[in-house]
Amino acid sequence: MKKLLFPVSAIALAVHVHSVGALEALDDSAMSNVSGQAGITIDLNPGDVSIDALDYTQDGVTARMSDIFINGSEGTSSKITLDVNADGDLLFRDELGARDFSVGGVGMVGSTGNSGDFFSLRGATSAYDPVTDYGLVDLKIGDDGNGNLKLDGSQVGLFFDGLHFGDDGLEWIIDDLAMAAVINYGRLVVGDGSLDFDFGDENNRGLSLVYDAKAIGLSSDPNLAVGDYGDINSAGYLLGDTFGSLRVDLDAYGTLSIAAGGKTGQGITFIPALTLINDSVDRPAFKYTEDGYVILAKNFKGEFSTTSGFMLDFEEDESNNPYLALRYSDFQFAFSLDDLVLGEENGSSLGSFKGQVLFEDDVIAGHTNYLHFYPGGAIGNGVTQQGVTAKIGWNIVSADPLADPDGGDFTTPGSFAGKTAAESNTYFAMNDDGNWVYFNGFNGWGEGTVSLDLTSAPSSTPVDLYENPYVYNPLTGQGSFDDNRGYDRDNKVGTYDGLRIDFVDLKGEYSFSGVTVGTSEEEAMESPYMGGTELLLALEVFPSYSFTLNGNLTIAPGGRIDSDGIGGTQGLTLNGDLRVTEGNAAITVDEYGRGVWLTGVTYDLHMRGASLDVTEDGLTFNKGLTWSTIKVGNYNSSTGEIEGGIIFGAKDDGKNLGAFTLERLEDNTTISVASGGAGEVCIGGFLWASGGGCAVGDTNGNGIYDSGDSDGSVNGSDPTTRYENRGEQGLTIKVKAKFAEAIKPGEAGYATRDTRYDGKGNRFSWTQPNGTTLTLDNFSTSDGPEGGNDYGLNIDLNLDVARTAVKKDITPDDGLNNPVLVDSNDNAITLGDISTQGPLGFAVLGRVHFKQLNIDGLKLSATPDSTPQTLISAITIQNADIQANLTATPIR
Amino acid sequence: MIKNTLKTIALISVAVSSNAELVSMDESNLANISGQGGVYLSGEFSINKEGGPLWEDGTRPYYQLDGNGEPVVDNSISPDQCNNGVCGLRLAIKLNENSEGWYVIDDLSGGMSFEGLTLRTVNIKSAVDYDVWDDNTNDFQIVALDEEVLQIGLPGKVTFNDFKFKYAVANNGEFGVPLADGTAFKQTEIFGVELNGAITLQGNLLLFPVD
Repeated sequence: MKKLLFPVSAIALAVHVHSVGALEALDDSAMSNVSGQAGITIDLNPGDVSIDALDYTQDGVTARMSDIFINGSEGTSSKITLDVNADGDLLFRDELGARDFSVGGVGMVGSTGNSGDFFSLRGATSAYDPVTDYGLVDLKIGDDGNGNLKLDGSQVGLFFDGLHFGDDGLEWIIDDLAMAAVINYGRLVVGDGSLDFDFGDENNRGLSLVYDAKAIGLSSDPNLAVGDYGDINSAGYLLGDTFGSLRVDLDAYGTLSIAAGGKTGQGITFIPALTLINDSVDRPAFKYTEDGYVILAKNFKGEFSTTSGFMLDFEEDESNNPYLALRYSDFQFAFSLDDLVLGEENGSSLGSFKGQVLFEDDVIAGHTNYLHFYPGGAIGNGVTQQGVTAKIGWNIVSADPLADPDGGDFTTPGSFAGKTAAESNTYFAMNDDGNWVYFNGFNGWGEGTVSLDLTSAPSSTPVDLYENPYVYNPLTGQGSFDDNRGYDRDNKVGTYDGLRIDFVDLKGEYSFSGVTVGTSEEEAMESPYMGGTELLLALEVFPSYSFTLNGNLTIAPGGRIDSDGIGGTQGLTLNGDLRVTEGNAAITVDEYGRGVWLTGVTYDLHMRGASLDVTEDGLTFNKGLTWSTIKVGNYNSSTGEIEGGIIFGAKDDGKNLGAFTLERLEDNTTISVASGGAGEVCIGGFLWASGGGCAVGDTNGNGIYDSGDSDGSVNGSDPTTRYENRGEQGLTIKVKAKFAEAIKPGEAGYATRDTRYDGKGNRFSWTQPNGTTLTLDNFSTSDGPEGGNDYGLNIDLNLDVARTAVKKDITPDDGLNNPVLVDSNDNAITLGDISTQGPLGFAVLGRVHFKQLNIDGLKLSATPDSTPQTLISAITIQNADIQANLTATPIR
Repeated sequence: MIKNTLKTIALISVAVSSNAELVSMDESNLANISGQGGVYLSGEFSINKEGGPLWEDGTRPYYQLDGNGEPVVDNSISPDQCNNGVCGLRLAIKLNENSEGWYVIDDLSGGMSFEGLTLRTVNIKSAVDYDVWDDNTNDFQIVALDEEVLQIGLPGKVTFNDFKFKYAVANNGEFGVPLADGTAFKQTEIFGVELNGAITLQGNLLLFPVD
């Protein structure tokens, strides 16, 4: 056996035991329980244990757990059995007793924060349960015959009646948390300066892991008794609204090495090459439940690997503030899952998904992967300032696109030296009726500061909770930001109930190369890049974006939607005030960065009572009351020049189309993602009423389009109509935008208006490079003449991959224009071959529908500063249902 | 409306993919457009092909004002019956704030299908300046350019399916709603258009910004 040279001296474990409860002496009868069996059995009830501090030091920087207290007097005893079996295996089994425990602070010594702590901890564990094997530490340690330690059959299971993470008196609480790890196959090899764990392979999976939390909630009562919160389904449940429940059930195999030494000096390096897998048809790998609906993933596989490893160091910054550093110069994560269900547990699957993220340091550009955790968040309570502040950086890579070797004007996904294209690209892919669509070639980096705190809202509604920092001037039709207005801004902190995430100068950039499609991963990786990432705009995700983010987002338990469609008690509630500055966003862009860009973007966004819920419609994001201003470019009055703006071409030197400002006021706009494909389309005619075909019209005059009507696609070489069925699998994105109208003084209903809308509106203004400004003022949706605003403006997108017809003149030299149907290799095919040999396309069924859209006017002014003239006084659009049913196929 | 616009951009921009060098094209190689890099689109656009969400039942009610001046359905007047039970989109525009008149495109519905619309971003080296006539060539002047343009290769044949609308004038933008002073809703239809069959569209459309 190799000798482990772990620099133990570097790891100074300083345990200051304050008082130890007296060990209970075993009486004679108990002693007989020990000596009468094989090995040694000990009933242990140590009473109360109190430890002042537990320190771990690296390179002179110390992490500390302080004020540790274990209450044994109210618990039950642990039963420890120690034995050596006939094979020479050491058997250690501890059937744990119930315990209450607390840790006053987990932090780092020497922090300038008020407490130097990340968080405090309280918890209660249950005693050993022989049915579930929770409350058990069962180790079986032997020799595998090759000089390595064998750990087969060992397991650890814990059940927490409650686990409380505290931050300045507020607590994040997990109710009934079960965690278990079983080692089916495990070897510990002592390497040269490292401990190497071998957990088998796909056919001999070494680990089984379970994480199961019944409910996750928050509490502002630091004295809330741990463990018993009542019935989660009753109104008296002590945690109130919760985030819902979560269960993770995975096997794992592969290797894990733990080496001495970090990035610099002392430390620890973890090198995982692990695969997490669950291919059971019965047990979901992940299951998140809230208000009876689920996000559920089956047949999951996730592979993690890194060459350089995760390096853990304790360090101090230039101000001598200690922090915990985690660095990784490379890390690859790939996943696949066959069934993703959103909504009802037995509902239809969204299909199969896979993805891959490649992290790799770019030292030359200064973009590296790191997490530096400082104790203490951004918000304290005046006495303590617990929480976490993290300085983070990331760099995600993909290989450069590969130009067509035959000189064509298209590119395909590229590859790194010695790797395939599939191994060289960061992507997200979905399978649809056997075809794959890849959002491919993602590159991105970022760095900045993020802090986490538990916060609470003021007891009464603050007067500035709904203030809009963008102040509109009705005389000019323009506005400007007033940084002294708003609830949460640079010089004022406004808090909400929940877990607050603060962003400070978080700079980032990302881009996609495009979309590729294929019936297999290989085909998709060889297929030409095409557009399609623009569809992400429906989710308010730009295909390419660079940004600086400041502000906060606070996540609280309890969503807005339950099985009745309203007022759920589980889910996520979101409040926030965010501002993006120095933004450059692509509306559409190719793999060379050319397209339509929005540059010099400021995006100011405020959300009140937004929510993220799982509903029968899938995953639904309700924007609550949201108001925002997007300012793209700026007209400089003194120079008459546009700075930034809408750029056509390359971001830096393209042609400027001018600046624009978009203000929005939305009340309960929803965005949902669900299953469902692009379905059937009839090109040149009408779908039959029952589906399955189409016709040029109601040719037999019976009032419906059915198989009795002549269908030009059935016969003939030049069909009048063509029917395509793109299948029912696929992805559906639904946006239901409800633009609200702020009633102004003098208008009807002003006295009874919703005052939260004051100072906000829906407006669009476009300033051309010559200063001419067009303003679309005050647009809003309604349910028709009788009012109401439930229906909204709906955008439905169904995304699919399907084969379609492409015509091409494959004999251009004959001087004749004679396009014929072709496959993806330009071989002529027939109409009947399309469903099997037609080129793969990206099918989109897009639909915009609304009952009524009102626009108060269209105005024109010579410059943004001059008085506008009315071009159109009012526009009303009623009863709109506009559909675009397209198949987009890349062509070479 | 803005969401509507963004949506349109999103759909159109599905296609923008790769860059191609385009030199001037004559008629014969226009047909080869689909043989180059880019995206080939087939499908259809439709407006209220099966009706719209406001008048789903194929009728449009008339309103009267209640005591608070709010419109409520007037059941004493038979609702307007849409053709074939399918009500089209209604777009009403009021140009002058002081005018009582609205210009209306009413009952807009139908489909337009096509096969072979191509989209790509290309770099063009020259373009026709339609503001300047060149006597030497007896044609509009050709100016040198070096710009990215969005090139839309037209599909050749576009088929209209029951595409129709009516042009009208009305005294209110919302159909069937009386004015605030109680004046009944009035609408006068000037003419109607109905389009069926195929039209031929050939060539390219180039979109790019100009000063």
